[in-house]
Amino acid sequence: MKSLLHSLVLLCLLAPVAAVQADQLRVEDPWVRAGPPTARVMAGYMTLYNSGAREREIVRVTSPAFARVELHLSRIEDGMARMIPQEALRVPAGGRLELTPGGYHLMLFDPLAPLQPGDPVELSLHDAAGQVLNVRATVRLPGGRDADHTHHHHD
Amino acid sequence: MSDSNPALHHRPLFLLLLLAVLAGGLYLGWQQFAPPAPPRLSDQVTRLPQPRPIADFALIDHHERPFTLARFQGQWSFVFFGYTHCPDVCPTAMLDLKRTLEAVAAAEPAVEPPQVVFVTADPERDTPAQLARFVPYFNPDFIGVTGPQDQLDQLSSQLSSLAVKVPNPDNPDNYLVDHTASILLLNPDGRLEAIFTSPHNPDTMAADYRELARYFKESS
Repeated sequence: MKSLLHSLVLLCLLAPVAAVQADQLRVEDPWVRAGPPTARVMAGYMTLYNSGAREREIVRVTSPAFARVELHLSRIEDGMARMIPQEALRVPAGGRLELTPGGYHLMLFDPLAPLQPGDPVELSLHDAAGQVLNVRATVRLPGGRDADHTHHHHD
Repeated sequence: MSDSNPALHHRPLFLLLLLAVLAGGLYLGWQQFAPPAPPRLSDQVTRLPQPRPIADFALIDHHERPFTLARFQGQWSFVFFGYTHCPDVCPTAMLDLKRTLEAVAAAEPAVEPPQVVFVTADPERDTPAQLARFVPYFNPDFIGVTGPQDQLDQLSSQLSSLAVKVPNPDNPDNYLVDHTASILLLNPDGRLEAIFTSPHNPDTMAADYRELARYFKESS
């Protein structure tokens, strides 16, 4: 037990500072909203947790599955639905940021291939300091009665 | 001391029968003339004091068939103004409408199902073919509608709805559109009956729709 603790302490000392920083940012339940097979835009959601002592800013997201990713916020103002492009997604120190339908989300442009529910989507979250957090999201419908049921219709 | 007169013996029963007939008559008469109970609605919906008539318009659906005011007559219609290049709000609204229809169908007693009409706020990109790729994905019966800008404006303004194109300088082909977030309900007279404000809850919308449909039927 003592030797295990010893090696753990040693590991922490040897680990580069950057890795520790990256570890302070963690993602839960990353998913991409399932849509029509021909969809040219999709949306990505997740919850970001920052256990560090500094605010973290995600300034860019890339994905091999999409031509382009933008950071957006959906807002209802005076009864109008607006999408407001964001320079960065800020995760407060010791806090979290939720990317959720009707709020902050990733706008994913031009999927390189049609995506089906259950498909994985690789996302790379780049922070202001150049750190990259790699995330594997799953394509699915938002929760509800038919979350894992897909509908195929051919006209 | 027993009563020997059979007529007297049956009097309580006779009186009871008479009372029952009277009560039944009163009840039927009250049913005939009493106004139906007003719809009990959630705070998610605003019912117009007077359903608003709509002037005719000339649009087309995603099958490229004419879509005019006549298509709103003879059935209830949920109407949503959105666009297919919208990744978050519009798919959410469409899924909410799909689930609302499922909840309407699942509840007793049966009421007629409404049609769902998605009117584009982005006719430049939303051709009938593009609408056909998006709208039926949510439910094969849903209808996508587009047409000339002036005709779309005429319909949307009558339904208190707006669409504003927002240029995206970094990504010009992928401009955004601000659009009214509410879902509108037209009654079988083709008049605007109620407005469902965002956010939408399918179960609440279904219950509100059922109440409005019941009241409309009992009042006509």
